[in-house]
Amino acid sequence: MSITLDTPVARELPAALTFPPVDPTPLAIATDRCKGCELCIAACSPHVLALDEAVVNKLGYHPIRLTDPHGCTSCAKCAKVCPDAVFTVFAPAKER
Amino acid sequence: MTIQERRVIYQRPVSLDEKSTHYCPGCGHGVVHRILAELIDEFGLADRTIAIAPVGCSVFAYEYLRVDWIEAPHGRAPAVATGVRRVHPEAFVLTYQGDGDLAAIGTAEIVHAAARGESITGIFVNNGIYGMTGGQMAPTTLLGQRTTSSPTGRDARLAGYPLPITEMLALLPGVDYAARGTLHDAAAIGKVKAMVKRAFEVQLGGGGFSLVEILSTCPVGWNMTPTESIRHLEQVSETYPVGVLVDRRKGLVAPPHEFHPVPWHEEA
Amino acid sequence: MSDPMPTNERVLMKGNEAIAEAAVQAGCDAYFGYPITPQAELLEWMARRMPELGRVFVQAESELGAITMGLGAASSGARVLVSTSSPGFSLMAEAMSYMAGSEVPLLLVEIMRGGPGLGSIGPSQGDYFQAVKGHGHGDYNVPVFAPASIGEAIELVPHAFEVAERYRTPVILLADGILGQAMEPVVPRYRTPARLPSTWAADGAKGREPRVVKSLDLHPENLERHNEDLQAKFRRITAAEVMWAGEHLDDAELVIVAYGTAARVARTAIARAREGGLRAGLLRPISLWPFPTTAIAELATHARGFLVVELSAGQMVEDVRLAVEGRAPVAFHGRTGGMVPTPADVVAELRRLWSVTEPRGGDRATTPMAGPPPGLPSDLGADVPLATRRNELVEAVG
Repeated sequence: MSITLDTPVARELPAALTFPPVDPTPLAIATDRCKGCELCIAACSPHVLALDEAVVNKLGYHPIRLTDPHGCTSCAKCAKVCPDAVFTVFAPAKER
Repeated sequence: MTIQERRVIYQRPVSLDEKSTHYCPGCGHGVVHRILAELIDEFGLADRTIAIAPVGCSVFAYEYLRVDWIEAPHGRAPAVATGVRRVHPEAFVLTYQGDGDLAAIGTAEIVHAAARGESITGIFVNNGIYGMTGGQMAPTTLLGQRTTSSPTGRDARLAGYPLPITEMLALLPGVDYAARGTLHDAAAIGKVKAMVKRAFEVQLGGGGFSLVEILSTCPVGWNMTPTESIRHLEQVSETYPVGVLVDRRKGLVAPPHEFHPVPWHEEA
Repeated sequence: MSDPMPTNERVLMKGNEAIAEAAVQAGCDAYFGYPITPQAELLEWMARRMPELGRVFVQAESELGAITMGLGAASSGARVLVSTSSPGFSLMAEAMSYMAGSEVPLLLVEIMRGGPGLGSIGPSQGDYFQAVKGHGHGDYNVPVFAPASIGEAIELVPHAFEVAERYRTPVILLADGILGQAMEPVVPRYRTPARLPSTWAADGAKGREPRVVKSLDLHPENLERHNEDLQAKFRRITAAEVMWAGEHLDDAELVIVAYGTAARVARTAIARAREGGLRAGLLRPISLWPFPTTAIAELATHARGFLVVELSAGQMVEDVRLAVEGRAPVAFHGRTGGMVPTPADVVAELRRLWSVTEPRGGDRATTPMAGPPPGLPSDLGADVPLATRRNELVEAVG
């Protein structure tokens, strides 16, 4: 599924992005909602997701982290399996 | 190109509240809530949905899905929904129940709402356990499965067989759509969404009762990690087969068949 | 069945049907019920009338189904009637508690029959405790209104809807099997109460913030605040909604307290007693909750005794004793199992009460006594055996 840029929500991204806006990474992660369940890790085909063991979020979990932004293919399987709607998935950087 | 100009492939649906849920890590309720919110957004139903919440872990569903909600006594959601549907012909009426709520204390209410062909959509989240109260055996617990009230494994001689409630309901002419999906992986979740979408279409098209059973996980109740609990779903679907049972408006009617519960087995 | 009732003409009506038609005329949007004697005619009347008017009728799979359908319809803003009898009322207890906690208005008509358990289908007032003190769990009260005639029942139905909606509470109309089954000539005074604007119902979020109709709050501080709000509401209801009727109270030395059919028996008994020179009067509670405590307490300062008559083993008598606070003796006469007290028995009880009580004299002292005067038995009716007797039902009705 895809939501076009016309929707108002697309212009107001959640504050809890983990990377600076200029970085063309395809994934925005709401780390304050992640419960470290690791279901996304099992679903991710390129294996570019891992728990960030250096961080404990306000819920008390190690949140998920994108280990290799360039390896992410924007397949959005992580978003589909996530019980906490943590992921926002963008089209790959190459797209205009 | 800044991030704000990138095409969004997936984001949290508008009808899903931003607050963090109370559900355990890896609990299937979060996925089902998300699917419902996506469909409510896609069909534009937020303004006319009246949803009925159960008793169980998802008693707080009203905190997360941004529509009007009514809290039902344990098991009575289909009756509450009947009351709502009859006085609000224009509303989109949704019930959300777990397996203890729907298939134990609520058995009479779901059977009769289905028998009356009430134009409501039932979401039946089946994780084979009473999660909220600490992990007791439920009518849908597998044979041999250990729970806090079947500590040596469900024994058919003492506790009977798991209940195929959806198969039973599918027999009724008032049931226009009955299907069962599983949250096993992204592809299966996509199929669940297609089933719920079809159920929504049945109601919106003026049809009768529609029910989607979703095999879901309870990692804490099952004493597993979330990833292990996803694998356990494979065993669950050996007892509760996945697929569309009936879609009467498309002429698809599964014949009555025997139900073969498969005992729970240790993983190889 | 007869055609829809014309208004302003004197007609012969069956209680159950009159109550049903009163609800129809009061603008009831939806009726949910289940067959149970002695109120099945109410269900049957609604089964015909509601679809005629394009309104909602559902015969549910059980009383559990009926009351929770009612909860749903009422929570989404409809004016709802549910009816049942005693065993079904027990099944409805849970939903009543939910509706009290969620502050959902609904009218429940309960036609009492003999109990406990499956009991009998004869008339009874054995559900007073249940209706007034608590059917479901938790700290709450619901207004309870008890008609003593079919005409009064017709008038109490719209009043009950108004009270339910004004205060956002379930309301019970409590009657016994005689009132449900009997036929009386009435000039039906139907009324359609106005609708209040809905600021709380879950009827589809149409461009406003979503609403949730619920009674759950897991934070004790919040739930305590909610309970305090509920208690404040109950105090407002107590201050404003007490209803009772008095007959021959101006010069009464003995006061009968009775409601419903028992009050009609008492009325006949009082007439006979007065013929014999015994000055008795009747205080007839119409609201059982809130109870006419103040009125009874005032009477207790100058009455020489009270006789409570019920179709039960003694339930309202406890509330009468609480109101009297020991200022005067309180006796009891009752029948159970579907039997009805007879005027003759009530007259006999009045005479017994007269013979064992003292006149209050010129000193109309208002200081309450500490307890019953020494030497008087605490329950004058206790040693009267409830033997099987002829049922003087014909005399009892009007």
